[in-house]
Amino acid sequence: MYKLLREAEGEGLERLHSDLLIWMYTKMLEIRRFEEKIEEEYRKGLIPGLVHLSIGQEAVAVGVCANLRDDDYVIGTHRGHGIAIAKGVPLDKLAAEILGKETGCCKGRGGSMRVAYVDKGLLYSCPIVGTGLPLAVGAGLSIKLRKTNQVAVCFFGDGASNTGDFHEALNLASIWRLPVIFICENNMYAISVHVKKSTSVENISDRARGYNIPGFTVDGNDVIAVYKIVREAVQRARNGEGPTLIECKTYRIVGHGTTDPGIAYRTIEEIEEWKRKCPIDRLRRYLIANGILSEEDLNRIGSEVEARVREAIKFAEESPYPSPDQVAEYVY
Amino acid sequence: MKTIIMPKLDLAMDSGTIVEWFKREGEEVKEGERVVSIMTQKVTYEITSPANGTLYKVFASANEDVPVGKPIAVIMEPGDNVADVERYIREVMAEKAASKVEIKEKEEITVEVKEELREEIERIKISPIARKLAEEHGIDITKIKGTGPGGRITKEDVLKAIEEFKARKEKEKIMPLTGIRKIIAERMVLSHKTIPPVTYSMEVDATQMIAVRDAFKKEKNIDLSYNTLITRAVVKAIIDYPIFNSTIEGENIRIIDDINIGIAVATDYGLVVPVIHNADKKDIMELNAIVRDLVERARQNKLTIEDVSNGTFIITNLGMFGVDVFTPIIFPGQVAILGVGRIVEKPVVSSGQIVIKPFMTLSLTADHRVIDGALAAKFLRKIKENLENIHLII
Amino acid sequence: MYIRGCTMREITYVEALNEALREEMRRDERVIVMGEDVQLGYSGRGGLFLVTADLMREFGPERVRDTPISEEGFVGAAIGAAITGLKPVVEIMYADFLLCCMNQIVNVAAKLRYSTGGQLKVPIVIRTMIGQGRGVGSDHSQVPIAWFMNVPGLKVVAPSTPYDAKGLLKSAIRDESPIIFFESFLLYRTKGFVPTEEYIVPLGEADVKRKGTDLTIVAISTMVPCALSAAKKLKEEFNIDAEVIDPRTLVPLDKKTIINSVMKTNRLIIVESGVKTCGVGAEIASIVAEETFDYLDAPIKRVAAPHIPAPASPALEQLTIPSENDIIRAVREILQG
Repeated sequence: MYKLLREAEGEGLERLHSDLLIWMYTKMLEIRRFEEKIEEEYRKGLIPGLVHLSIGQEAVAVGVCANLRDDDYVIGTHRGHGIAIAKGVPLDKLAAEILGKETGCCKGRGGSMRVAYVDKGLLYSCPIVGTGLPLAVGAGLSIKLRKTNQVAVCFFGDGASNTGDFHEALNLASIWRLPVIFICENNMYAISVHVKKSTSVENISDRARGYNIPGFTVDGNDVIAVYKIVREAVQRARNGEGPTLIECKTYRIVGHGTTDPGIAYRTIEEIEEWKRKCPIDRLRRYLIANGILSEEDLNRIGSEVEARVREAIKFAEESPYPSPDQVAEYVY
Repeated sequence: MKTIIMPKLDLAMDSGTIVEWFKREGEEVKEGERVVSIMTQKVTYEITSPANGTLYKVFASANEDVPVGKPIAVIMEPGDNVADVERYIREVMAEKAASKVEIKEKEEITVEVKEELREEIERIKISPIARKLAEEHGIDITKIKGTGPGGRITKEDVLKAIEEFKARKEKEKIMPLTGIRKIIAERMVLSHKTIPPVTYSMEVDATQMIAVRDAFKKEKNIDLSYNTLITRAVVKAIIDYPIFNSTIEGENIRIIDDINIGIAVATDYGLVVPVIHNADKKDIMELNAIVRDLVERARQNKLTIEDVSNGTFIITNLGMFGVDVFTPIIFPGQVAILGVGRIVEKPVVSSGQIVIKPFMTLSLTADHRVIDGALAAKFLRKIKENLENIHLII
Repeated sequence: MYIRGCTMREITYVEALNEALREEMRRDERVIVMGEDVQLGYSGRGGLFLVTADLMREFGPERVRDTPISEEGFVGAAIGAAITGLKPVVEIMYADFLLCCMNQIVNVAAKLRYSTGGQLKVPIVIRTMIGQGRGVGSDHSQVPIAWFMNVPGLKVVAPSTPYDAKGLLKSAIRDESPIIFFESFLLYRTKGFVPTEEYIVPLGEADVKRKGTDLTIVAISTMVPCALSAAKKLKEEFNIDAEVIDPRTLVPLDKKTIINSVMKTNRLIIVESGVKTCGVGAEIASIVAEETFDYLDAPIKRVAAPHIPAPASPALEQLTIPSENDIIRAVREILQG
């Protein structure tokens, strides 16, 4: 469907938007349903290590990636399932990776926090906060030197904007005018620390000024708004006009990780308020209101998504673990 | 009040073990009534009460080892003062406790000595390669003077010692303990360490053996070896006394069904013991053929692993070397071994007349853990009977 | 030195490195050079120590790129470029500054290939210099070779001669793993014969710099020339014939050459200019003890820097760098007591 959209570029705006909106709705729903299932798998004890869900933040990943081609680069984060799905990582390979299986996109070596799928341009998900930004700068440098018109996109959280890596990366991207788009998923909490406690500026996008690059803040729960602002940044990047910082204000409905109930440092009221701002419900209402899809269509999409997710989880569960004799593969 | 002490029941006895108390504390006993059984290294004795009264206190329980002369129980006689008896008991208990401490201290001292010894050994400073070379060439490192830093024995020192050793070997014909010699040495040491052996000897009239041999030679032109006849006699005796065909496995004695008789053969390269498997299932001709074949192949060093495996009882014959009596050593894993001496003519009185008869001495060594003297004697006598009537069992 | 069919000339360690960079940049346009002061430096030719001299003139500012003082950022960027088709050679001015980008090197470069199940390769060379020996003090004189040996996924190279420096840098650039390439200020001006013709020195091969029978001296980086002159004196003055081995690559380590030598000589001394505690020598000593214990005829000895930060005062600094005499003393200690 997304491919169709690319081919249709330049045709009537309205037609373009319907397909795009349906694609975005479907992807967001896929992320939501997938992560709900992943939480179940975690509770069943089938997932090793740490799992960070992005429930509530789906619009950022989807709104950004709706602008990207397969050969555009993305660096994700430890909260990276949504980014991976939006960038086109097959659900089964993603689920298998999270469960530590040989059929995972990283053959089970990376796990939930380090999803990479180079075939679709997802270079890596960087679980060390902030560390991904310089990598995206390097990908941008590579694009510039190889003279392709790809772009490099880096996702990171509000917490990462206080790391040295953030500042060094923005400076480098700016001085070298690289085709890099920095997407800050500001979900207001670095684990339990509120952004107001940790950050010197009202909007993280304010920091763009310090590096002489465009900076924007957008409602991260409005997928259409995210899409539009990123579309402009992508165009600038492809035109050789350098990097952009985009702050998407959003909220994780769930805890930091599957072991965090997420209520010790924030109120139930706050969480409930953000639940009402659910990006998926918002787009669903928009689609109905504008006559793009009927309730029936939406329900059909819902059951298709659920079936796909179920299949993916089943695939992951039934897949084998990596063979012990290959533990030392891929070191060098 | 009468005390029962651990009695000395044997010249070499310095302690005895309580086997069983027949009476419990507080029970009435009569003079002469058995109270306790005690085991020495050889026998079990029952001890009777020295008086009428009550078995008031027992100082040693079953399985406890008590030195000779130490009290093991007190009998309170009618009219005894309880306080006196109690005081005596306290004294005995105190002494017993003190002696335990003493033993403990002694043990500690022993440990200390050992520790010193260990240090003594470890204090030999030697480099890894020097140690390895010394081991490979059988060099005693305690005899090497190290010339390395801090007196460390170095590779060079060991190489020098090896050269010296070689030169001395040329001169003194020192033979290394290797190969079959080494194996024999190890097994014999193991036997000596683990098996308490007793050797019993008995003379056998060899008249019938010689007669049978002569008859076979004359009538069938077959050389029947003495080893064949002795094997036959032993097998028949084992059938009657299967305990001699057994092995000790941990806490158990296992009687082995197969009777596999080993014949010790002296060869140029050392002692070997080829085995006649299932010797009880062979007739005399088969037996003779097997014995001759095994002995021949042993001398030619052509035995297979099977030929020397799974023996259960060994016959070792030194008769051809002029030996009469000796004390064979039991092969580890077996419980007895029969030594055979030479046949020698002796004058004996028979039916009031002095006659000359051929005699041969058998020496049976048995593992005392399994076989006591009387049983060994019975078994030996059975072999003797079998040999003296060998014509009846072939 | 003579290699069959090669014309040799004597050049410095720095010139050899510079040749390697130039040749590899000509050979493969994916190769880029980045770091602080690589374009101009004091001389206007490139690099504070001229390793990147004249490269910008030939290859332009895109491929020879000055960076801000931003090690974590530009090393991260180099890694990002490496996984998307370039082959960056990054200069970290002093080995101490590696600590400013430790996160990118250890958490990212070393892990990317493994954590992505082999999807990514990280062909990046991080060149750096051991600043020891010129009074630049505690945080400009460290020898952190062993720190990086401890990280699976990294290769570690430390050449000691112009010939090895050139041949190994070329191999490193062609390799597909992240490589930390240790140069040394004290070696920069040393001269050696290098062929005019192209050649490479493969990674993972030690070089026997001097043959000998009485003991093996494994010397690392700066300490190789020092070990060789010590060996010469040992022969002349004490009739001790030392074999000197330069591992050249620490990861992967050519254990075989070291072990074969120790099996022959039965004695081992490891000489490095870094701190002794958990140093390169500790690792090599352990390997030899584990694998050739039965061949040792003396305790393994390490000659290394004491557990002291490098002092700025020259009077003190020389005490923290092993000398020829330290090596001779150690050798005589294990040989003669």
